[in-house]
Amino acid sequence: MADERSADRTDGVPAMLIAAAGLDVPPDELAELCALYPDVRAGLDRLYAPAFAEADPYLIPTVHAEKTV
Amino acid sequence: MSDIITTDAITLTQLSAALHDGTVTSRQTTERLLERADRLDSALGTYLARFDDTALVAASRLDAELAAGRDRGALHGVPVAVKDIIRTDEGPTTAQSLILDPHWGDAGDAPVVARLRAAGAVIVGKTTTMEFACGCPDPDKPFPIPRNPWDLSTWPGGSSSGTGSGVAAGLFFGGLGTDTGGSIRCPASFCGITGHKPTFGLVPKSGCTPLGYSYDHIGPMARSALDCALMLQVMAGYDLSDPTTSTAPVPDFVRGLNGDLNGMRIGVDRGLLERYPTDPAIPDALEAALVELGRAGAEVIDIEIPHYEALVAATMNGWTGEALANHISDLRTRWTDYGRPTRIVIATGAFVSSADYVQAQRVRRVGANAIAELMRNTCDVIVTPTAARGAPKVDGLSFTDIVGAMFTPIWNATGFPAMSVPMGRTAQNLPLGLQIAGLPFTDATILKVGDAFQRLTTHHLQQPEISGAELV
Repeated sequence: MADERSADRTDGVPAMLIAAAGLDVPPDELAELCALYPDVRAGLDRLYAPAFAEADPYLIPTVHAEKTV
Repeated sequence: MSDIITTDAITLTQLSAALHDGTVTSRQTTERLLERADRLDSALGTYLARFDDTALVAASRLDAELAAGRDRGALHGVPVAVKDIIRTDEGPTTAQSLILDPHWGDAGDAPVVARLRAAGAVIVGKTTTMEFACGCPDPDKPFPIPRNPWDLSTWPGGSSSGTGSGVAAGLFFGGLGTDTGGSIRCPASFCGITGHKPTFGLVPKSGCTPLGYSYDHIGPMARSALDCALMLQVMAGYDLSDPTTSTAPVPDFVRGLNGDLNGMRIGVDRGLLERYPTDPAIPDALEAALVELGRAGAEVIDIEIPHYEALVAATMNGWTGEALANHISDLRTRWTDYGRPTRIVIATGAFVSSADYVQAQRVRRVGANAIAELMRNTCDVIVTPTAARGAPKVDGLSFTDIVGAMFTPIWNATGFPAMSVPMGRTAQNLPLGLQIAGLPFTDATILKVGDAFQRLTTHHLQQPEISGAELV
């Protein structure tokens, strides 16, 4: 909830993440960026659905389709 | 010389036949296309750079070769263009950005360009994109805003914008696009042409500025599936400079294109159209396309694509992390040199934690395995609309709106091949695309399906009438 409350502000979690990346973003653009955060976070949360969270941990990185199936 | 070169929508394949039987020469063709670009490109914004002089010299040399009996194959003398994030010998690569070092392109042709050139293609120029192939066009930067030849107030799609608009407008017969979340298939759909995102690892992508290195693909864009097959035949195969390329032998992508889909099982996820709003013309266009595929002999089977939403998230939040890794140094020191849409989109990569990124890779693997299992058991290819709509207006373009309207990103997460073929129009006369996807390294199969569809339809042969106040 804290993330969602701060999403339309420039002093919450998304702003902290931008600052932690070392990006010096003007206020109007920071507000635009922070407004995108809830949708990005919602997408990221889909990655932790049970089907994936319980998947074999060795099923990780591959960049070669030939080796994925 | 026949006027068919510039007045009708002839395919690369038809031009190749005309070049080989002597109806036209490459020099004549190239001259006519460059004249056409003189008249149209100020309105279209297709080109970032034109290589008139070198193209005409190459065309003349290739004509002489053919006359002397040296035939390089189907692409001999065919004018093609290259998206300006891929290196060419003729000139600098800009990535439509003030950021990229002008000397980045000094190493010359990317392998994929070198292969096209060796096969006789005439490189006529570099085409517009979005900056580093992401974001939206930025009017505050000194680059053309690409427009859709079907309606100049609309966008041709991106990020392979200029290649899409140029093929549709008849400025060249084929071109190179790249695709990280749909950037070949989106402009193919919006411009009414055919675009093929190959299997990841089939085509080397060295010599191309990376966006998301594990999601990026280079592929052909042209009028027809057969055109794309002819280009892909040349482009595909291992290259030492790209360790992700497959060492497997390159199959024949053309031989099986015979229009016969008997025994082919087509999976369709109609549920997607219930979960996502689409243009009112899309359901009927999709059903009509399925009827045509049935006429070609295919069996249509209802399926549900597993893990669809998670795979979209794995793509859209995975490549931003990879892009941020590529650009973070410049973003820290040259923020305003990037276009605003691009810097905003890439900066969202900062919202992706290391755990999120690793989990996205796990989702890609689980999702790819699930889709592969589904396909092995039920269908040979999966079809969906390419996009949920026709081309949007240039004014007011929103990156998130565009992404939300695409059915393309899951095939970048999985690396499976996917193509877009034209399948109809909206009520506003804007093209719509049918996406055809297959298992890894079954590019020949999806090209076969696209070709069979195009043998029974004429959507891909329609060429827009281009009109506008700025035409010269």
